[in-house]
Amino acid sequence: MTTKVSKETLYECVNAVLEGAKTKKRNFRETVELQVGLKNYDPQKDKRFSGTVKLKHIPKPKMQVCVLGDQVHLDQAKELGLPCMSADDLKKLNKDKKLVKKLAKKYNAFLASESLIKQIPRLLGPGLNKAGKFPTMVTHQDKLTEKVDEIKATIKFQMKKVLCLSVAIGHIDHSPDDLVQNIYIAMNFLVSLLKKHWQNVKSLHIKSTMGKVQRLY
Amino acid sequence: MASQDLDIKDYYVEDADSCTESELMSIFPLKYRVSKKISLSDSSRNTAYVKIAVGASEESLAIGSKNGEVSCYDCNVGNSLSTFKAHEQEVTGIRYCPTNNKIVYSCSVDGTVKVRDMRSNQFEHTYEYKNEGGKGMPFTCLDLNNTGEFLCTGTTFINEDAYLLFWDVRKQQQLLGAYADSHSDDVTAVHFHPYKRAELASAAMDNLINIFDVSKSSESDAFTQCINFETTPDSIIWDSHQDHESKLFAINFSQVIQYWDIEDTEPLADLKPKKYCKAMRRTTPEQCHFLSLNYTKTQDPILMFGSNLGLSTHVNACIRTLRFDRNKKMLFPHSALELQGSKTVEVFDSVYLPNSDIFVTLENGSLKYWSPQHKKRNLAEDAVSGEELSFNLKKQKL
Repeated sequence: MTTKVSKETLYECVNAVLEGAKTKKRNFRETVELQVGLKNYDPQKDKRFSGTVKLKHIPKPKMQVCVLGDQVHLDQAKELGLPCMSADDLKKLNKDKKLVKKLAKKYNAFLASESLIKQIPRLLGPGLNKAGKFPTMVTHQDKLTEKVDEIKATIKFQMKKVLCLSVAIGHIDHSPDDLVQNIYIAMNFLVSLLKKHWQNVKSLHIKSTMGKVQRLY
Repeated sequence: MASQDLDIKDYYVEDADSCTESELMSIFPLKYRVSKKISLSDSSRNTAYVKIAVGASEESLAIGSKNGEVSCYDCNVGNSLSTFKAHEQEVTGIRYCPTNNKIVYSCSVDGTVKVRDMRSNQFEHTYEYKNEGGKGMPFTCLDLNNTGEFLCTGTTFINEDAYLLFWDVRKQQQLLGAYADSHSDDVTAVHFHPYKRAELASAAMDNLINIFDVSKSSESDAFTQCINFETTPDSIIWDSHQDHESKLFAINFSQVIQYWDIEDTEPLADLKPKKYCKAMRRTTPEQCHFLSLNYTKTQDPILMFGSNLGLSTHVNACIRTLRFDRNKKMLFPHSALELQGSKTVEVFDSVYLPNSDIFVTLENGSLKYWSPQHKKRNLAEDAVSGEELSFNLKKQKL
């Protein structure tokens, strides 16, 4: 077992990123992203993959999540002020491609009640699939707020046809500790996805949206 | 989280047995040994064969290579029947026609599906689909339905679309239609139901598994079920048993095997590497991976797993099979394949021949036939030994 990135380096880089963002303030909250370079991997031939992992701290708090709920969840959502729709609302869309597309565009993600999720294909057709936003299931045992946060905290690694990938792992208002924890979770997950583990990792960088790149590995 | 834990480390550890050899002998009562090894022809030494399919009558099997070649072998004698260059690029899927053992379908990322008739040794037909730009669509997978009427292929994600394409195999080989909305990334697998003529399951890198009734006229109506799988499903396999017709196995990129009823919202069984590593009697789940799922005539599904395969510093490789008990939703030891000093083992694909109880593995440069080294046992005995084993396992835990 060898250490690939020490805690010290992690903190050093994270602090540098945060420092950089402070000295040159932008008009929006910059996102901090992790960029990974791969090697010994042929995206044309080797299997491509994607996977999701839940981070400890929410990287993109502004995400809009819409609840497609049964009565219980609708009531909860209304109480919490979350956008929500009932099965009847969905029926009104009448599988109209344009309307479903519009719905998909309006929100970043969807949650659906256990009883409703199985009806989604019949109610809406494949429109949400097309947008890559098929709902995540929520049961009555789940707490709606927790589930929404879980979605917001979940990031997706997706291998495209190039040898690099990047994911949002936080924003500049996070504390260094939070960022370091998120990077730690994200990296260990990514390595677990790679066939040859660390032998596939060429480089690791972090940067804020407008800031300079810091090399981790 | 203790702060020392935050160093990002390389956790690579090689896999090994978790018990002694004699224990293994008793835990895995069935043994398979190489009974035949076929070296793939010289010309194919540099062309790794990666896909294998077998005809329903077990007369012949077909393999497809990364260079686009397809080879057919006689199942019994093991001699090469024919080798031909079917594609310009990697073969991504290969299937026998379910109703005719002499016809082989193969698809490739070069954008073609080739149909080879082994009686005339000629290509019978080529299926292609060109988009508006006149470019062919790279095919990632294919399947034929149980009656051999429909051919379905999945494509990669191109210009904002990933397609499922359907052809009528019998009537003028015409394109029946395309589903373009159901997936938002590369399609990884398509599988027709073993006996429901119009039911199709598809999986893609958008992490969804969709179920279609392809007899409906529009994609919107055909789309009946969707499972949000959350990681990329690598392959999907319907349960072939009559009593479990709405169930399927899905294997994801990180080697988790899930058993789903498509009507449900949660998987019936979630077989993580930790679980099957334990059932295999191995120590390192990260090194264990799924190879194939096979149906015997009467028994439960048999899953083949390997560990430490394909390493250059090969030691301690293993291939074992586990039996999936549908009622208990657990895996039980089934058999061990005796590797006996093979230097490097890399299994790309494998099939099982239920009539002769033989596993065929497609390895780097060779095909291996694994024959049973044991007398046929009856089901009841197996069930009992399975129960005992799970009991022993629990005891070990304590």
